[in-house]
Amino acid sequence: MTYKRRFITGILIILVVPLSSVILGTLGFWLQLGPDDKTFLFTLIDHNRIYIFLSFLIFTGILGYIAKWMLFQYFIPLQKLAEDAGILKSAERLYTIETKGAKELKQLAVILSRHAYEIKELRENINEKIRQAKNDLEEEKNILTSLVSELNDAIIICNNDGKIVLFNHHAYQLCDDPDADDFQNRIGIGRSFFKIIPSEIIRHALEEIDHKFRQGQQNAYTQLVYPLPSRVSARIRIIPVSKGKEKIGFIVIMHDITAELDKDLKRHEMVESLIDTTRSSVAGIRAAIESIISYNEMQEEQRVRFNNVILEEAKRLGAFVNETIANYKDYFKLNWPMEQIEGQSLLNLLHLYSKTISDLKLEVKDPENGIWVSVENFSFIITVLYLLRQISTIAQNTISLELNNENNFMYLDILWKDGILNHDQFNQILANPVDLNNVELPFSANDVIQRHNARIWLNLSENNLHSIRIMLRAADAVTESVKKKQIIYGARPEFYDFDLFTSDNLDEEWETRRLASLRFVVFDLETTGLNPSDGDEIISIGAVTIVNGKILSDRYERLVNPRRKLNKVTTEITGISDAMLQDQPALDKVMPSFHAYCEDAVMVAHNAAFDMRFLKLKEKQLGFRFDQPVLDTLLLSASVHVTQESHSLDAIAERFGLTINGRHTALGDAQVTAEILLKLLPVMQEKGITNLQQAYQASKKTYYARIKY
Amino acid sequence: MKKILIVDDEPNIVISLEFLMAQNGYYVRIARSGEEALELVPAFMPDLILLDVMLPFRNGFEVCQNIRARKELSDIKIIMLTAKGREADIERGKAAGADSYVIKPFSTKELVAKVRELLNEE
Repeated sequence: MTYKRRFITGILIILVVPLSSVILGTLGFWLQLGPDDKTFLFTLIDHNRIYIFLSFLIFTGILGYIAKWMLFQYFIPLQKLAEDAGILKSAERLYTIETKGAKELKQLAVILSRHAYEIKELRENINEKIRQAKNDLEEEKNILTSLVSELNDAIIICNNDGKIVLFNHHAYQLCDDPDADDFQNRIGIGRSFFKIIPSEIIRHALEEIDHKFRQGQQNAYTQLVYPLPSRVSARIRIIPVSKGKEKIGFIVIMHDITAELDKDLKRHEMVESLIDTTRSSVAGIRAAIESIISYNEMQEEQRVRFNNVILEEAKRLGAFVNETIANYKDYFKLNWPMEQIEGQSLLNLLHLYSKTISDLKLEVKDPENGIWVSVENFSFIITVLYLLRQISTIAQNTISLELNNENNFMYLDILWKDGILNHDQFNQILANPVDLNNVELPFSANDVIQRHNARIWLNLSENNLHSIRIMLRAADAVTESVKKKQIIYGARPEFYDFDLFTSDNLDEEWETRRLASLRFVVFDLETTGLNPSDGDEIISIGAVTIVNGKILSDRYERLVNPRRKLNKVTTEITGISDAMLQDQPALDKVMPSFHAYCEDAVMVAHNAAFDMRFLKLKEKQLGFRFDQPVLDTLLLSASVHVTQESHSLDAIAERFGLTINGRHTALGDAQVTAEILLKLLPVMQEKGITNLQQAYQASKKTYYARIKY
Repeated sequence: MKKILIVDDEPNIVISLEFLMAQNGYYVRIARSGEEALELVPAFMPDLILLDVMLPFRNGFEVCQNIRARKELSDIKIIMLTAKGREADIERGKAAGADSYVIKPFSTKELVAKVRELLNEE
């Protein structure tokens, strides 16, 4: 538009200036003339009118041609060049500039194209480097997260505000209260750890570490025992995270000691009651016996009474011992660091080490598959080798080694033919210190067998096939621990977000915080209809959380019993039927968890006015307020893509090339809305919308913003 | 004849204690709970109490403290008998005001000797 006007103005000036000068000159010339000259001139013009007309035509013709030439050689190509240069700046692909204009402009186009090519090369180069760097970083982070997730302890890393930057599966399990249906105490990236352990305790611990540190203690940490909200007693170690001299956060390592504490307590209880009861009974017996002995002339009746006391107390003592063993049998187990090892591996190890024994011919029989034993590798293997060496001195032929499973006990048999070992010799072997390469170790085979709660005996047979049998417990816990590991692998969305270390100050006002630094909860409601004021109710809530540009795995999805029948259309659209809602909790049961899920977050929805109307109407009734900021992806989309016709969820998703999994399910819609928000945020930033205030203003300006909520 | 009150809820030990004390020439009465003991003491006015720690409802420490809190009963000697032999329990007994603390099982001879000693009969 403007360039056309400029062109027309230019042409007019070009036409008017020479024409008006000719007209003015002619007019001045005309006024100078006397009447005779004028008559003469008239006659002259009259005679040559054809020439004058022709020269006028030629004059305007030339002017017109000049104008057209300028238009196509300079005006239009220049305009196009300006546009092309603008596109060059933002175009992702190579853009060649061509022009049909003047020679100089063609040269300019070539220069611009060359620059464009160089810019593109440069940009690709930089992008590649950035990508490379990102990949490297990502890889390092992945190594770290897998490492952390495989660790047996629960680990949580937080920034100074207590926001969780990284956690592993164990931490999640430890903090998660399976009975509670709310998000109050659940851990997740960007959520506050201070809900699990109050900030005062953490601060105190960090101060203590600071104190230790100032006293010159290196690698200082604090340890405490704290009951978690999930009713787990945890031993907690807190370690500060520093960046240079500045403390930027802390690491929490937690260990579930509920069972340990319980065990200690039980053991203590057992010892106490054992002591007290034994003492009382023995006191009764001793007093009675001493009385009988010291007072020989005692009456028969009295003696019978004492005898009964002794009998009764002795029985009581016996019964009590049995009772104690039955009640506390789990607490008698020795705390020897057993490892579970597969039968085949154990035999392989024994076979391998047995080669160090000279003159030993050992044959190892492959055990059944899937046999596991629980042993303390070092002492057990050394002991078996020691026994093999002893047997090799008497056995005439090959010694064989077998591992068999019978009735949940494992039998390790050392078998040999010919060469007698009598029971006394055998007992001596067991009682002597085990030696390894002629070095005596501080334990005997008996000690080791006892520590393993195993049994060992000698079988001598008449057909000269003898054996030493070691009976071990089968490792029953193997399957459980293997299963546990698999869960960890399956559930490794265990995110980290180290960017949280550089997060904005929490106390900063919502309005001026960078959009990118905010925690968003993007949600969607499915309802029985469109009018909450006419009694329409929420039937489903879905929500996802965005922290630092990432959608977290910590999703929210609940069905809600609306306490009224659904109409057919609702069921068709949402796929939710009356039957599905029948046993679901009502809104007042669901809302606390949703409210907790949304805490500290900006709420986002597509056409938020609709969803917020439902929530606002319920606020009073349920005693919750959703007073955090609300953003609407519909308004945001409309504010940055002004020329687009439609801002429906489907249209925007298509524009950004997003696929919707589960359209018209609350979680499906919430998910795609979140993805849309992530696409919109950079576009908004380009347009200078970087904080909430600006986002609000942009939303208000759009056509759609007339709906008030 | 000096009077001894035995406070214990375990009949099997009471049989021996009663016999033992009677054989040694004391007049013996039995209380089977702390409550019963506290009721009996002012009327019976024993010279010595053999007081078990583990009594139902009101433990021996409380009974001991209660007696020591009353001036008119201050001459009564108290031997605490207990199966609790841990240092903390012995300290607790002394704090309650017991004259002696005997851990079960005990030698009857030694117990008798201790009773004699406290009653200044040796």
